[in-house]
Amino acid sequence: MAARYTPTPDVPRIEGGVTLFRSCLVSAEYPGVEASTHWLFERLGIEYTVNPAQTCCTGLGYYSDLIPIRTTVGIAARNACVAVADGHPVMAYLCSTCYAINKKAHAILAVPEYRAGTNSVLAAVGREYDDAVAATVRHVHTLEVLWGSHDALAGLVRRRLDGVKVATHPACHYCKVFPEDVPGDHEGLMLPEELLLPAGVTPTGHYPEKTLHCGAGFRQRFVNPSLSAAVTREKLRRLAAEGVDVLVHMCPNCHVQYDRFHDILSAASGEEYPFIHLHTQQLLALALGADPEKVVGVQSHSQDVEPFLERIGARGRTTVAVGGERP
Amino acid sequence: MRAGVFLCQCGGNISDILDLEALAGHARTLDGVVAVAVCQFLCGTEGHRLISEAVDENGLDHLVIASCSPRFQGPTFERVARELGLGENAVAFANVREGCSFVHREQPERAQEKARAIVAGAVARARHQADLPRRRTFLHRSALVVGGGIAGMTAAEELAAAGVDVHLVERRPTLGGYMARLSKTFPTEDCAMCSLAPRLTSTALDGRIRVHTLTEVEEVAGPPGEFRVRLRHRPRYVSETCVGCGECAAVCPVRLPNDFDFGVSERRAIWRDFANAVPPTFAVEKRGWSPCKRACAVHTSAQGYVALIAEGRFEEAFRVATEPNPFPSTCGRICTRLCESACARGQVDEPIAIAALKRFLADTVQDQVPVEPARVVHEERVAVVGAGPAGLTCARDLADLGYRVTVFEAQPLAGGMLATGIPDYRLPKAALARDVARILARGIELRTGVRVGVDVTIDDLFAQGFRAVYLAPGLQKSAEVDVPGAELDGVTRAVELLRELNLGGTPAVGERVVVVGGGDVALDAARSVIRLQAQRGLEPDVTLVYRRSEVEMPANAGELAEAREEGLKVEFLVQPLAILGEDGAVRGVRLQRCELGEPDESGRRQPLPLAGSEFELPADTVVFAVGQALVDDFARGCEGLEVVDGRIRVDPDTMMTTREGVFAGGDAAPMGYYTAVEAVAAGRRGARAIHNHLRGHDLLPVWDRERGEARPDPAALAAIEPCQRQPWPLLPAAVRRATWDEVAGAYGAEEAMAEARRCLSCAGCSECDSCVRACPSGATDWDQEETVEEVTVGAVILATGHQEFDARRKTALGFGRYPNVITQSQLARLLSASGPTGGELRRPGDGQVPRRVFMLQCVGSRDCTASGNEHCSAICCLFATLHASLIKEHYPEAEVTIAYTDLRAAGKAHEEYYRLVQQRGVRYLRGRVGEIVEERDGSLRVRVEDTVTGRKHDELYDLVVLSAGLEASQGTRDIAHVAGVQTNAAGFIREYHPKLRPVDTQRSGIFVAGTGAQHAERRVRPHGRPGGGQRPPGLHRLRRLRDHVPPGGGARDRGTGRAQRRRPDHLPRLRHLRRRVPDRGRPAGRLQRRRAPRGGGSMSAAAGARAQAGGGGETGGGRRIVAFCCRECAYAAADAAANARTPLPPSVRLVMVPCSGRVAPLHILRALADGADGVMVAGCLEGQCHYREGNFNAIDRVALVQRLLESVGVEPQRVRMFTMSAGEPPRFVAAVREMDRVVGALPPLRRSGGDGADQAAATGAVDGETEVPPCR
Repeated sequence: MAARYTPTPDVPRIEGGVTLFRSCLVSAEYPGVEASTHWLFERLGIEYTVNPAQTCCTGLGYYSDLIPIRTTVGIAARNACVAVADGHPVMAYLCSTCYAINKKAHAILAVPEYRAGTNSVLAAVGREYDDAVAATVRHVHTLEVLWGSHDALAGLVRRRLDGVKVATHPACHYCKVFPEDVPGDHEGLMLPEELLLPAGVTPTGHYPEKTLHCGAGFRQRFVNPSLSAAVTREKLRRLAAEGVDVLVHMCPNCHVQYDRFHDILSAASGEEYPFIHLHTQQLLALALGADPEKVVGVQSHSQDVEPFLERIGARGRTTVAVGGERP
Repeated sequence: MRAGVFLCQCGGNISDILDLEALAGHARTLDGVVAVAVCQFLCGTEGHRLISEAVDENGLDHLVIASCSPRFQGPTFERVARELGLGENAVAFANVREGCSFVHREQPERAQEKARAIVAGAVARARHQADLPRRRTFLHRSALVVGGGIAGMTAAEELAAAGVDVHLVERRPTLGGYMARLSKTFPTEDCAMCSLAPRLTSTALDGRIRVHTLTEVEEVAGPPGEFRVRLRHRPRYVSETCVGCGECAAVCPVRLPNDFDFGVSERRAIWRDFANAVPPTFAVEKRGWSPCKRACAVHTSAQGYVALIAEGRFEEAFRVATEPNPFPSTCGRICTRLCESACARGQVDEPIAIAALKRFLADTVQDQVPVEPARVVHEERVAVVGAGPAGLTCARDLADLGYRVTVFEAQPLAGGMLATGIPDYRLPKAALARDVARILARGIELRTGVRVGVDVTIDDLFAQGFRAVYLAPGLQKSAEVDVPGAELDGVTRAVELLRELNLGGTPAVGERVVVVGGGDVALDAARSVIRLQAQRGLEPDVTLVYRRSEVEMPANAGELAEAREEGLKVEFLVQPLAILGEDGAVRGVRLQRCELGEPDESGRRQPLPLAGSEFELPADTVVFAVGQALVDDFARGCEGLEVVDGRIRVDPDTMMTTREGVFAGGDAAPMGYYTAVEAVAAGRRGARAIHNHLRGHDLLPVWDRERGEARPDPAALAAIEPCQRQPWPLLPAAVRRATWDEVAGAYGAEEAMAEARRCLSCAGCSECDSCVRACPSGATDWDQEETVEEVTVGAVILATGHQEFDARRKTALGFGRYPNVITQSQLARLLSASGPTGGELRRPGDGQVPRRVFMLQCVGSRDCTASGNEHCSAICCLFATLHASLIKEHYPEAEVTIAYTDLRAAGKAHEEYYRLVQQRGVRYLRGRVGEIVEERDGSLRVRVEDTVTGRKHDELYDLVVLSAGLEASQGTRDIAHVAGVQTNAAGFIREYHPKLRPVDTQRSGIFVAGTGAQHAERRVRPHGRPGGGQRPPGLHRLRRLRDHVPPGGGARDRGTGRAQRRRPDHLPRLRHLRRRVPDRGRPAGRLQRRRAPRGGGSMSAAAGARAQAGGGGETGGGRRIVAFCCRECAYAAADAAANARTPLPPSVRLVMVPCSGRVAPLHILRALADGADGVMVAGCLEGQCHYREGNFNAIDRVALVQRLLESVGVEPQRVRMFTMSAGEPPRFVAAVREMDRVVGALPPLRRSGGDGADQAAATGAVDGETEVPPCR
């Protein structure tokens, strides 16, 4: 009996609300990801807040060697203070870079001298990353928040995705920076696929080179474009061989790399990659009946997702509204 | 106290330095001393005589032995005291040799002073030593050995040979363990089974060994020597009359992965692990009822006939399908298929098409299976009223039980609602007729056209000689419709409409029809109306209105879709308000929209009308399908029959109505849903109830004794490759609405077999009973049940072994996904002559002989990532080498590469073997693999870096073998929990001490053998095979248990075997101190906390140690540093230093304690109060405490005392903790000198206004408890 995947263990539902941490890449490139997340949280009754005092995590700048770590850690400390002060100390990330850099900063801030240095700067804005903040703040990926409520998903599906084969692109900064915190198998992440199972998708499970990088590598995309593209192409070829319909993402950086370069690489190599890219929350929102433009924001995608929307009945037929309303 | 002090000259070792006569003189002055003697060699016979005489003459009750270290001759004098009847604790030792004369040779005066103090201290200690009650444990001369592998069998046999009765418990059906599955053993390449088989036989034949297979240990309670063990025996379902012929397995249709072969082969649900298994009896794997069987009202073994279909054994499958349900043709078509709703396969893709498979059987093989009239056994005649599914099933079952049965039916044809209520396109008349004919062929008389209650009364039936009557008249009338306008012309009822249609009529329907209802009857009526309209050349215009949503609709979803294709319009969440009429005829329906409210008692959400949403639908015919009712004349002549709410009342236990001898079932006396299969179930229950009634006994269970549902767990379901249902043909919608032909086509044989092969065999045994029929000795026994047995044993040996690391956890290596990636254990089965391939190496993917084989070491071992284990499994290097050698031997042209981290071949002849195999041409490559990728042809691309040359390899192999490491088996983890013994992080059972007591566990009387133990790898190596045979660890320990003195001299808790905690009154409580002890990281993996031992086995000795530390009030002159030394390490180091005549500062006073963990803060404070200038506590090195964590406790407590002293103004450096091993005398010497130097530099300790302890007590820190409990 071939093992397709290892089921992800249940995680407790997060009570008391979360701070939905906004991501610069999501906002700039795929605002529908955030809109879909808001929409899903509301459907699932997950209390959340978006804090206007939150700033960019600066992870992109740090990983591109533009911003020193002290700056990034300081900003992470401030954002944690902001979330705790707001009473929503669970920070839910849309982007795995935000997730990893904030979580890493949390570990760095456990070292007294680094914390003291950071606090000396924070004092200027009247904040302090103290023991209380360190003990209360929690860093989770949005997918984990959704997974805590996955039992409710089956009853909310309004567009079946029967026969749609989905594959996960595991985000490196989610799976590889804190592997022990990943629910389930960090080398064969299934969380995105399993979230979509109630909609009837066919999961791919593990496929060769599942853990292969997207190729973006922050500045590598710009300073080593041929290497970056070669890695992206390698994975696209593998996924094409797997017969995947949708590659689901959990990190906007990977999403950008695949979606923006998909057609370019296909044209350059003459290879067909007959699948599309969606963020997990986008596909889940579609399955639960969300509007493709107003919520999912497909218009910001480079690839043509129209045939897929037609296939799943998101075009041409009236959407079934949710919550007892009749069309 | 009447103590005698005996001073030993030790041939000058002592007397050359010390003036013993002066010492004796001093001793005579001590309180309680009544005799003093000096002897040249006290340990010799002369000394014994001297002591003996002194005891006799002076009536001594304590002996103070001033001689060498108690570690040296202590046991000698304790034995002497025992022989003289002085009790257990009569000897106090004054170590004047190692503790004085040896180490202070340069300062005889100081030595003499110190000796006086030592002797005085010993006398003071003796005063505290009281005799202890000695309780002999009643030792059962029996042992429990858990685990029937090579280690367990060896232990059991050796115990048996020593005259000990043994219970050998094994959880699998056969003995043999891991070794039975190996092909050969390294480094000798001996056949594993050849070594094992004689042992299997001898164990089985040993009269002292009772083998319990399929048994779990549930509880181990009681003290050592008298363990009460609860064993749970799982049923084997095959009795001992089994001759092991294997006829059963040959006919079993269920194929399960063979876990004995690590999944590289299949076995049947009735099986035996290997040919010469012990015991030879087969076993059946029954996990409960399959979900399909459980969901079915009749509990048909759907898995059973599906499994037989998969094997192409259609006639047998037909028999299994019809045994409980005589309507295969019918139920294969119109059943509600709860079995399919429950099917576990539905969680993966689509449920098995169980009904379609049943229909296939009925359509294709029904005629090939002859039916014989049943033999009449009983004279009683039974009347059955109603020839529907309930009545006919009851009649058939009664006929099979040997009764003569007559069925009375009001309609001109048999079948009940099946005949008159279901249209032909769903259930052709011929199909039902076949079922009915087979039932009647059992010898049942059918009288149609007889209306019971009109043509004949029930009293008449009794008068005619029927001894029992079964009423199954069904619900033949439509329920009343409470809607205005229901009386209008054009309003009809679905039941009447369908009956007219089925009896050959043509019901009148209009051009626009509305059908009200959401059940199967409504849908049948609607689709029939579509056909009636089409026959008249009309475009069908039928609207179904239902008040709930599609989710709540009881009608079959597939049929609803078919009906929509035929043109049916459906309005959900709509309810009729009134039928609108014109000139007495229907012209339309007024409807109202609804929304769904909260679920009601039935669990369905209630429709709530939405105000203002009324609308009209034009119609000329309205068909109501909203329930049916009982006809009221059937029970005439049956006084006492009670009808409640239109249903006959019956006793659910006996199925009898309120009138004796009259039973009822089916729709008229419902016990469940109003479905055909429910009616069949009712009929079966009725037949059994009537049989019990007529025979006057509860011979048959009226309701089935259900078993728990066996549903694969989510992980198993996640592993299943999706595979959609085999489709069956459907008539095109346009064709079917114009005819009455059956809509759904049937499977052919190939399709049926393919569909049946999708079954997951949830329950293991499918209960098809093929084995029962095949067994020549009638050994199968479905009545076996789980039993619990309690045995009492003296000792327990855990030999539960290891299991292979689950290589699926290393996702990138592809194990479990790629068929040609296997583990060494699987390879062992493939290379074994008794394995699935008979020893031929065939790769699992395609059965080809691999030419290039790649072996990867350290999979899950020596791996610090979250998915691996840190420990080295120690056998894998040679395990792979052995297999590589075997492959090269059988296939010399094969290339074998072993990629390793480090090659470890430390055992006897292992290095030589490794070199030999290297010379045979096996390639060793140092490097670990990143990822393995399967190519299209099934070959495997391996990416590995050779870390010797630094070159990267990207190579193709035919077969990859993963050397997955060893982990504690599930059995080991389970038994560790049950027996309450500690395990380490990897789950292996922890030994008491890896070097000193490697077979003891932390729980006295429980021992560990084989690879279930921590460090098992060290032991397996010399034997060259995992779980290598070992001497039974319990044997000598069993003897020792006899002299067991309960620690603390107190009672033992009979439940746990632990010493009950007792608190003598004379020592203060340390609650406050405890709270302030800092936290400290602890070794992981402990299940049970071990308490450090009490001094010399007794509490009074600990108090004595304190008294001794006080030196009996003797200062001995000068500085005094009390050294509490652990008996196992520091005291031994002190002895060793003394034997090397290493000079020590005379300030040091040795006090032996059994463990540094037994030194309480109060002991230290009291020593300071009694005049000591400093106190050192010396324990084992960290991690080497013989009691696991006594030294950690001591470290904590010394730190605590230091803080306490500081708080009362005493220099904390007066108290220090040292750790050392027994082999480090220099460390001890350095510690003593350091202590002497530090304390010497301090000003004298001020003890004004009370001593240190009193000062501490005054701070409120010390308020009363004796033993210092573990601090965390």
